Amino acid sequence: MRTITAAQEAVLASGVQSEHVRVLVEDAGAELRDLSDYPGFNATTAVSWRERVADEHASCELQVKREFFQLNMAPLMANSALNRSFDPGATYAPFLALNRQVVVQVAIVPIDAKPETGDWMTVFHGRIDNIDAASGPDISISCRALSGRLAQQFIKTERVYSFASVDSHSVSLRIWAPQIDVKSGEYLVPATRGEDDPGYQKFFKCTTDGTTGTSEPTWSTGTGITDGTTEWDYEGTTSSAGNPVEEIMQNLLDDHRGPGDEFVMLVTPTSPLWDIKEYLQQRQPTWTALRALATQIGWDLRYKWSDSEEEFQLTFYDPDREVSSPMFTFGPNDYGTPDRLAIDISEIRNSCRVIYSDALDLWPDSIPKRKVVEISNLESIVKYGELFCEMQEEDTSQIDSVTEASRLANACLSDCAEPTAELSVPLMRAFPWFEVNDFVRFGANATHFDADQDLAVVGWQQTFENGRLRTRVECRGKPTIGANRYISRSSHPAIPKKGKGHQLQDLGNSKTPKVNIKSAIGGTAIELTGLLVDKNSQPQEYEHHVYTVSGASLDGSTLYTTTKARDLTIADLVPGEEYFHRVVVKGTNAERPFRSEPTVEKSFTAGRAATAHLDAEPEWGRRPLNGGFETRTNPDPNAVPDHWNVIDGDPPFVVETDSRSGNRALRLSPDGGDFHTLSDRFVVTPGTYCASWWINHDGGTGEVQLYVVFYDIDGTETGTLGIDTASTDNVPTDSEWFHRGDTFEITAGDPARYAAIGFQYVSDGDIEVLVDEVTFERVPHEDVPAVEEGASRTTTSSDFATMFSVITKQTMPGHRITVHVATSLFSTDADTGLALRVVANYPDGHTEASGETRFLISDADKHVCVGYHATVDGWVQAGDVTMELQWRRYTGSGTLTQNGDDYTSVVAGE
Amino acid sequence: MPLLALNGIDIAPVVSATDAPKAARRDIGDAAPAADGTRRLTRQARKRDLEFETVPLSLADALAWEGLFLGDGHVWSFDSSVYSSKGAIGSTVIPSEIELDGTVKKFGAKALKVFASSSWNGFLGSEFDATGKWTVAAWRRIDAGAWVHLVVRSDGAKWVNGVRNDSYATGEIPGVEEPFTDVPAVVLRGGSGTTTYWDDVVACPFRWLPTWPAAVYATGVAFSPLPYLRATGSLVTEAVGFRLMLGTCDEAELLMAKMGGALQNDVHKLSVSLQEA
Repeated sequence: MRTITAAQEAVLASGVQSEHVRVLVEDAGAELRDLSDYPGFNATTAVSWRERVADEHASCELQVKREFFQLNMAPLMANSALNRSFDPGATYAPFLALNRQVVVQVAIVPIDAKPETGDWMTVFHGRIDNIDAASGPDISISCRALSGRLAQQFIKTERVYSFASVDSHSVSLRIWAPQIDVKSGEYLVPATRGEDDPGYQKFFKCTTDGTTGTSEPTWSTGTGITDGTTEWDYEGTTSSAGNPVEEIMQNLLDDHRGPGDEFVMLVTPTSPLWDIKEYLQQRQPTWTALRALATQIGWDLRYKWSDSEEEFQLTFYDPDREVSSPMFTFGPNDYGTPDRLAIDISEIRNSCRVIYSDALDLWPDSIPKRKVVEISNLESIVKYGELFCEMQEEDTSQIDSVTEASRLANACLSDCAEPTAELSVPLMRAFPWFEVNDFVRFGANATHFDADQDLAVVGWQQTFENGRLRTRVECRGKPTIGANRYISRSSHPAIPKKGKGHQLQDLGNSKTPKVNIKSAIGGTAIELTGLLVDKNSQPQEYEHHVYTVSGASLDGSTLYTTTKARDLTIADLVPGEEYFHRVVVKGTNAERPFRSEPTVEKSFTAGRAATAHLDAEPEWGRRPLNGGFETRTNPDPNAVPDHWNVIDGDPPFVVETDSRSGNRALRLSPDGGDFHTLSDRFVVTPGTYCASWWINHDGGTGEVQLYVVFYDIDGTETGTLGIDTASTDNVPTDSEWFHRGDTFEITAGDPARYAAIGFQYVSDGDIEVLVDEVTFERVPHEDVPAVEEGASRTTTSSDFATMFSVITKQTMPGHRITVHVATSLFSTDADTGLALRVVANYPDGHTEASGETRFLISDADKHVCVGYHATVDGWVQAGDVTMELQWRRYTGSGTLTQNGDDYTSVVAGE
Repeated sequence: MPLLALNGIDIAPVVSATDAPKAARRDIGDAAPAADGTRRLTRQARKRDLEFETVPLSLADALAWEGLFLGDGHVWSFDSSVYSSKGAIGSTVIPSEIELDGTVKKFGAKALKVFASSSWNGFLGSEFDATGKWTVAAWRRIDAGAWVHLVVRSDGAKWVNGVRNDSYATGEIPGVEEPFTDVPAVVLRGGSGTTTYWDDVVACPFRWLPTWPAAVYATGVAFSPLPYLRATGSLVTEAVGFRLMLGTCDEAELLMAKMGGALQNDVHKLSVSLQEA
């Protein structure tokens, strides 16, 4: 309630009073003019102003006399003295215009007295919203309190609030975007501000008016960061700790003032101690944004009079819901006959549920869990039955804790648990000191109530007409911000608001999908089936959890991904490792969000992933990958096959089905310039290698070279080696395939750790070749020591005896060893039978013999050539294996003789 | 003290004492019963209203009195602008030609200063006709001379400081003219080589009666901002110096009567109501 001065109290005590009202209107020169004398006549016909809890803008209706002879206030009367500020030489500027200020003042003085200067008290201050110059003989003017301007003012630019502070005061931030206008002093947060970005946790201050560039600058902690025509200085680090709501509201007021708008200071007599967390302010009227913040905790925001500042101030305050002693008492002789004393059940709510998102309890996908607070007022329920309301806070609502949700629910019940009033009563004398939520007492009048009634003011109206000011007041139980605020926010649980889905808590789903897991090209495939549940159910997302410890609880660490597709291929698991999988279905059912129980845990062993997912160098080091050009992911027929790279020139690749191996080969067409291609790199170790290619000359002349490039441990090229050069000289144009290549050695001291194989045109020409099966292979054996020279060996035994031994170094563990022998020998007698076998003597002492092969030597003393080969299994480890060629005479009588190794060749190896 | 004077013009001679004159009181405020029946009072002011009929008047007199009661005409106080009390426009102020001067004035805050060879027009409505019936009253001062009250009537009659002097022609006198075709205006001139001050200029679309100039001059105060009338006299001013009143004249009863020795058929009796503003 406004302060009643001592002089006014004396007048009130006298029981009779004189009431005066004057209206001041801002003219074209921004002067406040008294309508009772400035126009040259008293133009005030009637004034009515009012305020209601349900309407945050106090309003005022003026009826002013349009004209008095030639003194005319109609805005379109261009030659009226009033519209030329009483100067016929002045420019036409209507005395009455929209958005001009209007001040209503009241003086309550002793009866028959005239008000003195100090008697006037300002009871309304607002701006003109509407002027109707044809309201009979009058001009009708509608005004709203100063808050009306904030309702017209629009937040044109989205900004991030409560994310940064300067000198301990919150500042709002623009988000960087290309080619936006910025002003010096504005703050900005980078658009790319992920953990790995330079803009991470930084914000900046504009130092030069201008326009941002087309691409985001590289943010740093320096000054003078150039961005288009503007510049930025690093200001500090962002913070998600939150800032007091009143500070954020002041930010909103400061940020969105239009040209000509005055600075508005928010007055918060007592802080709610409620911190707002980082949020992006949407574009909407400033007032809507402010009210949304204020009413979330059941506080009120409106212009209230300040005695100390002698003006109406935008005040953010908590209606004193606990008030118990009345501020003023109206005796039964102070008020007239109530014209309404009604109560209505439609605005009662005594059981309130608030559903909110708990910022501190997140689902695995970082979405806050929806939680519920339910509070009821038993006293009211006993009286009126349970009257339920449910308020669903948005996911992004600042109400994100049980404390805040409870505060909202309690405020709702305090405001709605008792009937909305309603005592509407005229006062016998004007009482201009009312403010909404005043708590006043009406003395018993023996007609309508026989006990004093203590009620809160929910609205009042003052009407001045015919020299008489009348006050009508509406009251109800306790101070409130209006039951309708809550009722309009609540939703019926089954009927979502138009255009809005429900923001209910998460519900379970009656069915969960069946999960099939199988290996697939590219990794492990997970397929979801059995998704047909209720016909209204619409799965929207699948939350896949993959983990290595059976029974692990599902959280952010187990979440593999969230997808909308029913099939998922997981590519980056460790082959051979056992994994476990569960899936959670999220979606809506009859527009209610649901979140299914996780599926039953399934285990699987990861298969080998696709080549594309692994580094070719360490994993597939023996030969160029895709040396047969069998795969090419890119469907472009001229694209490079997988694992091959173009170093120079355009890729003249054509993969054809005419091939030497597999079903594809590569056609190299001349491109008229350099052409140079290389395989992916692979690992090499010291040893002997053979590089080869299959080549088919298909016309033209020129030279194409197969070559090898070596790299050191750092991947730096150490040299190249030509392997083979194909030309029309050595590869005739006959469309035949030639297998060509060469061996070479990498010695132990060689720095080469990696190699790549490739081919290039070495001389210009129009040669066209097909290439297939490019290989780079280690030569598996080492030289076999020569057998004894000059020795003559004979045998007549029917048992196997060693003819000679060779030692082979098994280079690859487990590989089979084959011995090829070609030699000549003779028998002293005709028809002598020769049997041969090979015996392998392994490093651990055990031996293994091949089956025998028999030859019958028909003629005596005549050399015969014997070709023989045998294969034994290799040893489990690399090591020397001694291979013995053994012989015996299995029939006949001759002496089998072999003369040294004159005619002997032995090759052993893998 | 007369019973009631309007701008100093005593109306007693024309008020019929027999035709139910009435002096009423009007309260601004309210007295009504509260919820418990108690009568509660608010009152901002107490207003006086008068009703009376005139004695039979000749047509000329009747028109003059009616014009007075209704507040016909315009008053330029020149206190803050060149507009009349009813908003009639005057010539724009032009420095060194026409100015509003706050140092030399007869009443109020300012007076109109018209430099030598300049003139000022106060434009009037069609109820005025330069060749018709009108009266202009004004206070005039030439250079550092004394303020002189001039009343000029369309028939050539003149009063200086309330004294009839039809031959008075020295210096500038005000009058209704048509400085632009068919646009009547009260014209105030600066003298030839002299600066002339004008204040409290009254233009009425009827002829004042011969007794009025002296009465108006005698008040020594500014003319009321028409249509409000400055009412004084024992009937209304027992507690205050004057009251501003608005007059209406609803009925004019036509009589046939012998007047001035001749039978007249256009004798009027006016029904007049004066209400405090």
